[in-house]
Amino acid sequence: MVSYLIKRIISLIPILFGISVLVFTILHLVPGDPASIMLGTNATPEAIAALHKSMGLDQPLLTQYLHWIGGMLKGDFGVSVHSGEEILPQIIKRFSITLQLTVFGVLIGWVLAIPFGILSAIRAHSKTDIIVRVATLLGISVPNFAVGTLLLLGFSLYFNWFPPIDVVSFWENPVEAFKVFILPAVTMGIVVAAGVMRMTRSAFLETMDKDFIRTARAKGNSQWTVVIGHAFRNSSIPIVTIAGMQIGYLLGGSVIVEQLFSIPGLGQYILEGIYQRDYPVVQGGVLFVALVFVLVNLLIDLIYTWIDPRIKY
Amino acid sequence: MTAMLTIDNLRTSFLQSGKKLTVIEGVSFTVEPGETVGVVGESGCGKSVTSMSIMQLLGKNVEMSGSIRFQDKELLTLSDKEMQKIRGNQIAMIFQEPMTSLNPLHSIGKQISEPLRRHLGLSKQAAKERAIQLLKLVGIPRADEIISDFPHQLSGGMRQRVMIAMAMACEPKLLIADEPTTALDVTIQAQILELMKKVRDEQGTSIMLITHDLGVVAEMCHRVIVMYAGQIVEEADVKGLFDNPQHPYTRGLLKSMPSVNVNQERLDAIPGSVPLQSEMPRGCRFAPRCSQVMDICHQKNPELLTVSDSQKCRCWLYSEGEAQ
Repeated sequence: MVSYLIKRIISLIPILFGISVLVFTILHLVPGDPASIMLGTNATPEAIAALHKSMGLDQPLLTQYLHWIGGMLKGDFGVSVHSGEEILPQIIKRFSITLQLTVFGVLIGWVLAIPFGILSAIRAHSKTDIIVRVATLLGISVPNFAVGTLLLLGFSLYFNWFPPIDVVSFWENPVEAFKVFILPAVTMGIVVAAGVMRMTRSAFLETMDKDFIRTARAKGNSQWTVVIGHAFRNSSIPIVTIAGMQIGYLLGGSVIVEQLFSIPGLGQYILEGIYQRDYPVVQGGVLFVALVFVLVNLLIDLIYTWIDPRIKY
Repeated sequence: MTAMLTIDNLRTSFLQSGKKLTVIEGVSFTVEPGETVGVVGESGCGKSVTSMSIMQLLGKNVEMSGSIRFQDKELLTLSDKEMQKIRGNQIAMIFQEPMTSLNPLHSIGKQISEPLRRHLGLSKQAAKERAIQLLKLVGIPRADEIISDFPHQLSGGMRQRVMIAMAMACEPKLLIADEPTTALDVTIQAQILELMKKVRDEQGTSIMLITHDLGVVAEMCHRVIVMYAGQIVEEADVKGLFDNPQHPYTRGLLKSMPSVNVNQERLDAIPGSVPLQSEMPRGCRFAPRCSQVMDICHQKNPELLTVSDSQKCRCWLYSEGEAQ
């Protein structure tokens, strides 16, 4: 187990190295650079060249890469070329907001998806099942910007209610934070729910057909005990897998939801960095997101061993 | 003395996309206290469906009629809740596949404790102690260690012992064993049969033993029911069945068993296979495969008639008098 963990953590090195090269290369291939964007279209070539020099952008690409990655290895994410702010504190601040939004959204998704997924499976092909499946299909097919916009419109037009503009975190002011995050979280939750619900249904359908479920019934267990006590854990591996992928993905910042509800999360930070060709911000941000994604997946792999004693690393 | 189990004219049908498929038709038999009754027949003859009908584990799209009386309780009219109190408590079941019939994610101890806690209301600790005793009873060594193991850590034979321990946990009055030895090695089979005999004799349990293995029947049973295509074709005590089989199907089954004493070039197989429920012949259901078939066999299905004190048979060979 410990040696497995060490192996997994060592395997992070090539992954992160690959991503760093990729994001650096792509970013420098994109036309436009921070100097020309900062100075505007009327800037003289001399002024741009001078700014380039002061930013170190006149150096060969390899030198620039080594300079950046050298700093990253020491934990120094550098400063934003646009605002001059330290990048790491910004990433952490914005990640904490994204984290809250994700946890809230994912919880809403699971609370919707898992009970209905189970219900849909144990009443397969009934009216309940059909209704749940149609709802899921809607959840998957309607894009989340549409859901978000409709929610925002609906609440403002019919209830005359808008989410507060100032973003506060749950540990500062839970009530206020709830108001901030509820609509974006529901928007996120609907998409999450659709995926999880499908997986829950198919996993339960498979499990409920197993011999040991028949044994559980033959022991005189109630339907509830059979479903929750016997089938749930046996169905949870695929559910946890998809949930883990969704969390890892959403923690990278769901750009659309953050943009739509003006939430200054990580996704929005990286997006702004791209607009401004703020190289260190985008590079640092993407690398951080990749690290989070890999760590979430590692956590999921560890959860497998807790769910199923047959899985050993 | 009242019988442990009295099945009277049981009819079980599955409803499939608007169609009704009758799988069990007019099955009647009894199991007396302490008695072991074998139910034999080929695959698809309705043995397992009969047992699942008794347990009422066939799910929703099923229609049952007739009567299944357990001691003095009519099971067919019981509610789900009342049936749950009987399952695993007074009537327990052992299944064919020990490899897949245990929950892979629960420890052995938890699985054996479950009926004890549910039906007898034992505390966690008391249930665990009883579970260790039960494991010892079914001959599992190091019971106090095995109890925290998971099914995948045990062999097939050990798992079937665990299944038996689990079934016997609440000292059921009736044990339904559905091919309990089919998936096991021959040496392990003998051990499991010995174990079932031991448990039966110690607890005075009635057993309904479903099998297609006539060797197992000879070893275990007092009385035998031969099923074919959802009906009983012959009922006999075990001696009568082997010494004096009446129905051509029973004779066929016996002939298709290899024997050491007789020098056989090849076994006599019964030609053909069990007809599908949707394509049941009009007359006797065995007629198309029968070696002694007569005209009447294709026209009318014979009744199950008493042919001697201990034997009943469903065949025109024995009821020509009534046929006219």
